[in-house]
Amino acid sequence: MSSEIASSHEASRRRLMFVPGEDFYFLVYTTLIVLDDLKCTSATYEFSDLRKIAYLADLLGSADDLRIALTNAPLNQAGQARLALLYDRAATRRLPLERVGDALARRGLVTFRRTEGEPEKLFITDLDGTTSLLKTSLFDAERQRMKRLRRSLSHLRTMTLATLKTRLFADHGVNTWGD
Amino acid sequence: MGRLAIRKVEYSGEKYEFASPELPDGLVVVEGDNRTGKSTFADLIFFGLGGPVKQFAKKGKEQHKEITSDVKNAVHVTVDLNGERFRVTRRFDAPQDILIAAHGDLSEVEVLPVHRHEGRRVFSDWLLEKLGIRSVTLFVGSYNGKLNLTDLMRLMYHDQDPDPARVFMRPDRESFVADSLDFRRAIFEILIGTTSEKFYESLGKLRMAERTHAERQATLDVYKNAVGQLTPHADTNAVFLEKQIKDHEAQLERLAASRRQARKTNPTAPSPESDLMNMRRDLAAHEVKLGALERVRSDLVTERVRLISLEGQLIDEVLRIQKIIHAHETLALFSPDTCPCCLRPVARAQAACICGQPVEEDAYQRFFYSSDEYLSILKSKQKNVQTVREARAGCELELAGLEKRVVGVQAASDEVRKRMERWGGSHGTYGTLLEQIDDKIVDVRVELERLKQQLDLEFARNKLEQALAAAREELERLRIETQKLELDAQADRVAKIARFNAIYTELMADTLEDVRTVRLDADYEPILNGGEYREASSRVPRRLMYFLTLLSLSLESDIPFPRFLLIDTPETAGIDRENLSRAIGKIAAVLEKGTGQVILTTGPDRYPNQMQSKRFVTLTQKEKLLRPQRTRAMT
Repeated sequence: MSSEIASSHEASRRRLMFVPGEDFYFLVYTTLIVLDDLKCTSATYEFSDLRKIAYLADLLGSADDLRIALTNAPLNQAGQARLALLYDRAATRRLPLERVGDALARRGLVTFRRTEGEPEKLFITDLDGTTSLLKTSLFDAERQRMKRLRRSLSHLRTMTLATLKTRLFADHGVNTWGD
Repeated sequence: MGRLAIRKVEYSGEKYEFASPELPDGLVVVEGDNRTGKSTFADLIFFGLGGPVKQFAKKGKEQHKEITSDVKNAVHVTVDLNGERFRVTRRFDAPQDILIAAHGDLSEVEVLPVHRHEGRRVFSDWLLEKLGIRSVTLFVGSYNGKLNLTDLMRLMYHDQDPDPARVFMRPDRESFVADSLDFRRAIFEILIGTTSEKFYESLGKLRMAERTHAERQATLDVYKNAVGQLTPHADTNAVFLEKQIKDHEAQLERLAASRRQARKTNPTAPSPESDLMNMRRDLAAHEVKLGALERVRSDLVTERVRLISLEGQLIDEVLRIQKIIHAHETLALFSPDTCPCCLRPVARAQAACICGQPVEEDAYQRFFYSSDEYLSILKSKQKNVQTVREARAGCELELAGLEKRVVGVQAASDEVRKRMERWGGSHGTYGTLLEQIDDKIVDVRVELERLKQQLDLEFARNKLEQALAAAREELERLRIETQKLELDAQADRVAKIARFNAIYTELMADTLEDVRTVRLDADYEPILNGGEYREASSRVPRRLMYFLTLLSLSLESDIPFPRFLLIDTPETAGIDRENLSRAIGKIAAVLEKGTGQVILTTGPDRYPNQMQSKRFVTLTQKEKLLRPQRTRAMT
């Protein structure tokens, strides 16, 4: 009986500890959506710098956050605070994202090409696996937001991390930090 | 009457000194060349008796250098006052006081101030008392003051006036008061004794009464002017105002009775005022209720917005969990045995940690969720979404109910407003009649208040009128009293002035060959030959003989003039030496009438030879009046 109670408590604790935005699968499908949308499916069409996806994840997950980041109008104080929060969350997401990238590479879903002195580059190698994941309508909202992002940020695929941070955050008055 | 005689004049200082010999009655000649100290001798006497001498002051352009540069200096004048001898001392460095010492009795020493201040007894009062002359208070304009010895000295001290056309010596301060006609007349009349203290007291009161009357008249005029501007019918007197007030009060009572009657006619009908008050009260209650409902509605709207936002967030999470579950089921990238550090699969034994240490399977801390756990989380989140939806529905239900209540209260409030608007247009004949009565009552009350204020103003005006009438009566009474006293003195004065004129004419006729008649005008100024004689050379004899006439009059009759003259070198205004000598010669002739003293300072050979024996002080360029201390010489 006590074992059941303890198990129930543990289950409740794990439910409470769950944060959808920090789950590894959230980063998995976000990464694949970005690479798929940008047609990064071969070595000639690589996505430059995986770290950029850490800054795109929240924008793909929320229409409101994407609107704030892409607006040309000056942001009010609340908008700036929200954007600063997204930046901080993205910065802390970079390390888990690297591990997710490695996990995807080990599974053969993506391939990384690392050159000394340059950001690592990657592309989808398991098109079937990716397609089987993304073919559902569950990801329609994310795909629509990715299109908007792609149209707003030209050269997103090859853009450097610094340029991305400037376009999405610094240009709206958010102090950017880290590499 | 009293008599003044100077017995000795002394000056003492650290640098200079002087001491006259004993000066007898009769003529005392002080002879000296120009700038040897003749005038200083006369000025020392005048200064010693409390007179102001400009040259002795340490300020001014015409300073007497020897005296103003000397230190610890004083003048000592020994005087006989009605046979009593005193020695008076006045210091130059403290001229505000005079020390009086009775001759031969050092215990009788008194210090008196020279200048009058706040009614204090001054040196002049003491001296006039000794001479039996009563000091009188005079009123000139707003000024009032007692006559002093220095005022009387204006007809006893014949100084070197550069304009001897003036008989009276110049006052110490040129002012319309000190040199006013009233002052000069008073000096003359006091000295010849034709007036009384009562007359001047009465005259003073008369002047005060004139001033009071003028002030009260001015106050009344100002008041009338101010009241005339404030009230349109200021001419109505108190009697008529009181009658008007009574009429209005009676009208007010009649109106009050009419109002009571109107109320009795329809006692059940609510008054329009109470209707209006009730409606206002209702309206206020509705407005308060509406305000409270608005606050609740605002809170509910805020709550609904928060719930909608929360629902949206929860739905997003549910969707994301669904996507995560889909990804997990499609890719199965992670399991409870995945390394939390490198995300590689680890071959973990049952009931052991990934490092190999034994641990209960239930107690093993998993870093990844299983499909079941994801589903459990999804259900939990979906349940949360349902809970929030129910809360939102409850909130919206409550909001809808509230909206209905707001509409109801708003309608009730609008209804009250409409009723008030209708009430404002017409509310029956009863209300109109009562309103008319009330309006009339207000009008009558306003008019009544105005009349009462006007009556108060009228009472105040009456008081001013009464005060003015009292001042006018007092003025008339004093005028009559003063006139009576004046008339009483007039007979005596006429006789004395006739005698004065006779003596004066005789002295002048003996001095100037073409003078036949001399008389005094109403202001006691001399008129020679009926005013036709205006030779400048006559001015010195005219003034000198005036003084001598007073002396002569005092020697032959009992008048207050103290039988003393101080004459300082009358050589101005172009008088020739012969006429001057003749005029001076009259002094001795006058003194033959009785005992008096005339101190004359003059130059050598300016007076008749037979008067040489009367020379008691001789001053030369070598033997000047003030001599350095070391010489200690005495004439």
